[in-house]
Amino acid sequence: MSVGVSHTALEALAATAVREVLMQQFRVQATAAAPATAVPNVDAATLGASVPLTGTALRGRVLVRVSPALARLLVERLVGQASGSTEEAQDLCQELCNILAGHVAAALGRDGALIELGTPSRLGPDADLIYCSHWLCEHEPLTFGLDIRTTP
Amino acid sequence: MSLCILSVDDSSLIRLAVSRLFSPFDCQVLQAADGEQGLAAIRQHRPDLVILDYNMPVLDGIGMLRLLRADPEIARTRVIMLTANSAPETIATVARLGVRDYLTKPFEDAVLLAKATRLIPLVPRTPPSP
Repeated sequence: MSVGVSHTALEALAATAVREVLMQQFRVQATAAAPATAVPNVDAATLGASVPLTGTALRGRVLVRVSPALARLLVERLVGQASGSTEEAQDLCQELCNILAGHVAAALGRDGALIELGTPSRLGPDADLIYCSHWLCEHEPLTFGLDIRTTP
Repeated sequence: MSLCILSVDDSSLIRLAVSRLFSPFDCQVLQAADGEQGLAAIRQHRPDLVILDYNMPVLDGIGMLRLLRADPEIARTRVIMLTANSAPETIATVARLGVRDYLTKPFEDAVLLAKATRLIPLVPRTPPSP
């Protein structure tokens, strides 16, 4: 999950971030799942977003990929009304990634390191999520990636 | 006279969530997608409260706050930050810029409502007479 940062620590960080953000903001329970059951079928309809992290001692990205059905569910939980809009689904994906990145940055910054969040951007379907964990939220897949590297 | 609240966030869904949250109250909720649009809306509408994101394109929340406080016409505008950024340095910076309260995402509707109620007198909207 990382280069230069403890893999175990980041796995725990990812798990806490996904579970807490999904529950607190969207009232959705996220369950860790094996890739065989939870990897979304990545195609042009799959939604993805990334947020850069820049710190005094590390840099990296937080990445999220969700199915369109999960994005629609989360939109409904956030704003209280259903939406079929692709733009709103992508907006949701970017905002989810932003909130998850804030959670990760807060945890990584607890030892005093300064970590800045960048602006969320769209993640293309062909982007490589090498270090990631897989989740099921209301039976829909979510992939959460952390690419964190210490800086010399 | 109804109150005016301005939601400044690059996420249209967060702006919509804020609008929905305040819809039971006698207030108008305006929206802006970045700091530049936010400043323009403040100059035009003089909102009673601004709910401001930090990370935004064009002009971020800190940049908007600096310009806001430097303009005597609008410098006293009340601002609550609503952001995923919880770095202590950021909180200290916005506190120096006169931000009245700070709420990190994920956020609970009730908490944002409570913070807003401390700053502006929210009154439930009265249904139209039959």
